Amino acid sequence: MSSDSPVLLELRDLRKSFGNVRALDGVSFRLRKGEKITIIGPNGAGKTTLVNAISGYLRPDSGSIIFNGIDITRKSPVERVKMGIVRSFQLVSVFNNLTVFENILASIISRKDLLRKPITPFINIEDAINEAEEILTLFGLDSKSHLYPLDLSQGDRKLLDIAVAFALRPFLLMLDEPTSGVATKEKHSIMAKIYEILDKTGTAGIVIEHDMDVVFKHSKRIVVMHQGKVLVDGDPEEIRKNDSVKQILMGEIYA
Amino acid sequence: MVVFEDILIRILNIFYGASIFFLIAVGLNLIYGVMKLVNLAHTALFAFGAYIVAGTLMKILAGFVELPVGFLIVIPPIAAGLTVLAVSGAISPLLTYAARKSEDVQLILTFGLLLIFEDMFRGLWGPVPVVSNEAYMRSGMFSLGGSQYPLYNIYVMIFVGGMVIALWLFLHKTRVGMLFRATSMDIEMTSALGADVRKVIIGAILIAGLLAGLGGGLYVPAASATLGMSIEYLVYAFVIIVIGGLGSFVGSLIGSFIVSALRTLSLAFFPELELALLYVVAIAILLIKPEGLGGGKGW
Amino acid sequence: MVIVIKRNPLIEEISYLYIIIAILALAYPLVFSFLRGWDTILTYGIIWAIAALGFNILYGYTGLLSFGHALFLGLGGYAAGFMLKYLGVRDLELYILGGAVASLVIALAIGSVVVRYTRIFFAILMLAIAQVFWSLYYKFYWITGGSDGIKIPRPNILGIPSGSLDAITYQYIFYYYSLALLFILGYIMWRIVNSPLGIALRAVKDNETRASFIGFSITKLRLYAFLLSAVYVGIAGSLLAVHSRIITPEQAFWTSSGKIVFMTILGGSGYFLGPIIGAIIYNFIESIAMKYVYWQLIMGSIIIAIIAVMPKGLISVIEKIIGYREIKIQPKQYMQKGGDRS
Repeated sequence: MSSDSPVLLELRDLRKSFGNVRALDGVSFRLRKGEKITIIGPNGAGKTTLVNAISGYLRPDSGSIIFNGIDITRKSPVERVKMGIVRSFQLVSVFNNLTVFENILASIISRKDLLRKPITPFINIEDAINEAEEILTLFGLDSKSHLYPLDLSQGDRKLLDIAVAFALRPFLLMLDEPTSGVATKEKHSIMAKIYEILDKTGTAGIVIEHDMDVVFKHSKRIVVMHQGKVLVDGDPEEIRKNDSVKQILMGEIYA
Repeated sequence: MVVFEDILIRILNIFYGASIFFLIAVGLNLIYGVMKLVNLAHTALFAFGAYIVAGTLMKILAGFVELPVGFLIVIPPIAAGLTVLAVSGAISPLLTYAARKSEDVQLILTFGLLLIFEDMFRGLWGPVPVVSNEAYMRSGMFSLGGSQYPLYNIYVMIFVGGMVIALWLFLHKTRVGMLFRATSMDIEMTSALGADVRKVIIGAILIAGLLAGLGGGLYVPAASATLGMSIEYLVYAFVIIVIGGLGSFVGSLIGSFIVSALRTLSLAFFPELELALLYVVAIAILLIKPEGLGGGKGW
Repeated sequence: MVIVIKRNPLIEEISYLYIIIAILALAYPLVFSFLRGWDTILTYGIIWAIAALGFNILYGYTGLLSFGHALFLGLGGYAAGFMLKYLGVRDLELYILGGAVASLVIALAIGSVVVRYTRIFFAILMLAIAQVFWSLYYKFYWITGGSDGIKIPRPNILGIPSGSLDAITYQYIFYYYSLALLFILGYIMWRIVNSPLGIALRAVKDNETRASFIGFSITKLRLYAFLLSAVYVGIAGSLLAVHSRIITPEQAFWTSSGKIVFMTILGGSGYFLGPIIGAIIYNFIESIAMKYVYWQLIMGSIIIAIIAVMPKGLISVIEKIIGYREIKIQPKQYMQKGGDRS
C-alpha cells in the first residue's frame, strides 16, 4: 500500500448530536485502499459513534461519507455491507449452534448469494467450502474447524467473530475493540494476526482500541478523538510527542 | 326496529360477559406479569370453579332447607374460589418449574396440564354437562321497559365491579400490591432490593386461582359446566390477551370488554361468524399493535 | 488432517433415514399379519411423520413454533374432499397435489406477514388463523358438510381403479405408497438441511442479529421455511383424509396442531429423524391411551414427563443408551454433493 492508492473512504465534516452532547463534531479524514487506522480516545470521544455512522446504523446530522467515490450517507446498513463495509462488535456474536466451519461458510453463502436459486439443495458449493477452509487457515482456526464456538477460548472466539465478518470480503473492515475481554497474553497475538490478515488481503481497516500497548505496537496510523473531534492524525511517533494527546490519554493509560 | 330496551340489554350483556372474562384474564395476566409464564391451564381452573359449584356444592346444599338467595349467590362462588386457590397452590411447583423453561416448553407443559384437568373433570363429574341454576332462577328478573332482564347478571356485574376496584386498590395502594407491580416490571431489580419475589410469585398464582375459581362459580348458575369449556375459554382468553396486551391490568379490562362486545354483537347479528370475527380482530390487533391496546406494562 | 467433531444431530447422516425406512418397510407385513389393527396405526404414523417433518423445518431448524399447523392439515384434507365432491376427482395423486397446492397458496397469502412475528406472537397468530379456517369449515356446512364432513371413498392409486383392488391389497399398496412418499420427502428435506439453505435457517434461528449483519434476509428465509412446512403438512393432510376416508373440521382443529407439536418434541426437535420417530411412536401411544376413558390424562402426564425427563426427546435417550458417537471427518467431506459421510 502506497500513498498513490486510491481513496477508499472519505469523511467530510461529519456531525452528530444527541441532545446537547456533540458526539461527532466535524470529523473529516481520508482512508486509502488497504490502509489501516486505529482510533483511540477517552470514553465518550465519539469513536463508536463514528463507526456506527460509517456502517450506517446512525444517520449523521450533517456532513457526508464517500465510499469508493459514491456518497453513501443515505444508504442503509445492508446496502453498505453489500458495498463492502463490514463491522464487528465489542461483544462476540457468532452462531453458537453452528461449527466454526459453518460460521464462516454462512458468511460466504451470504456473500456469494448462494441462496438465490431455489434449487440450492442441489448445487455444488465446493468453491465456498474451499474458501471457508482458506479463511480458517488464515485465522489459525483450521484445526478447530469442527468445534463449536463455546468450546473455543475467548481469544479464538474473537478471532472467529472477526473471521465471520472478514469472510464477507469487505473493502473496509471496522473492528470495535477486538481485544476487549481477552487475556493480555492473547491480545498481542490477536492484534498481530488481524493486521497480518488485513495486510495480506489488502483490506482497509478501522480499529477502535483502548489498550495503548497494543495500539502503539501494531498501528502505523493513529487517529486520536476527543469530544467528537479528531485531535491528531498521524503515526505513532507524532502521537507520542504530542502533549495534548498525552494529557488526554493519561486517563487511558491508567485505565 | 331497534328498541331502546334491546340496546340496553345488549349493553348489559356485554358488561356481564366482560365481568366473567375479566376474572379469567386478570389472573392469566398476573401470572404472566410476575413469572413470564403463559399458562394454558389457567382456564381449566375457571372450569374447575364452575364444576365445584354446579357439581358438588349445590348438590350438597340441595339437601338443606331452602337457603336464602343471597347465600346461594355469594357463598358457593367464594367457596369455589378458595378451593381453586388451594388447587393452584398444589400445582404451583409445576408452574414455577415451567416458568424457568423456554416459551415453547411452557406452552407444551401447561397444555399437558390442561389435558389432565379435563380428564379429572370427566372422572369426577362425568361427561354430561352439569347444571345448577338455582341461584340464577331464584334471583328473578327485573323489568326493563317491555322486557325482562335477569337480576343474577346484575349481581355478578356488581360483584365483579367491586373486585375490579378492590384489585386496583390492592395493586396501587398497598405495599404488597406495589411489590407485585414491581416484580412484573423487573423481577431482578425487585429481588435485588430485598423483596422476596418467590412469595410474590406464589401469591400471584394463588390470587389468579382464586379469581378463576370465583369466575367459574359466578358463571355456572347462568350456564353450565361442560367438558371442553376450558378450551373454549382458553381461546377467548387468547384473544383477550392479544387485544388487551399481555401482563396488563388495564389490558385485561379493555380486552375483556372488546371481546365481550364483539361476541355479543356477532351472536346477535351473524352468529356463524362469531369465532371468525374474534380471530380476525385478534389478528388485526397483532398486526397493528402487537403489544395490545392496554399498552406494554400498564399495571 | 483428521478432526474429531461433535455430531450435529440436525444434520444427520442419510443412512439413518434409509435404515428407518427399511425397518418400516419390513415391519408392515409382520404387523399386518400378527398385530392386525396396528397396521392402520402404523400407516397413520407414516402420514403424521410427513407432517411432523415439515413442521420441524420451521420449528427445529428455523426456530418458529406454530400452534396452528392444523391449518394446512385441514387445507390438505378439504382439498381432497372438495376435489371429490365438486370436481369428481378420484385419484390419490391429484388429491395430494391439491393438498400441496392449496397449502402453498394459503401459505403464500399469509406467510410474508406472519413470519415477521416470532415466539408467542407467531404461535398465537398461527393458532388464530387456523381457528378461523376451522370455524369456517364448521359453519359453512352447506359447502363443507359441517361437522359431518365429506366422506372420501378409496381413491384410485397409481392409476389403478380402487374398485379393482380388494381391501387388503389396497391397504398394502397405500401403506407402501405413503412410505415411499415419506422416503422421497425425507430425502428432499435431508438435501435441504444439508445445503446452504439449511445453514442459513439454522443461523437465523441461532442468532438473528448476526444473521442479518452478514446479509441474510431474515424474513425471506423464514418465509421459505414456512412455505416448505406448509406443503409437507398439506400433503399429509390429504393422505390423512384419504386414510380416514373422511374429512371433518376436527382435522383442522387446534388439537391436531398440538399433536404435531407433541410428536416432534417427543422424538426430539433437535434431530433430523426426531419428528419421524416421534410421529410413529406418538400414534401408538395415542391409540393405546384412547382405549382408556381417561386418555387425555395419560397424554397430559406423558407430555409433562417427557419435558421433565427427556426434554431433548426420545432420540436423546436412545443416544445415551447406545453411547454418544463422534465422527472423524475432513472438512472437504462436509456437505459433499452426493451426501454420504462415512
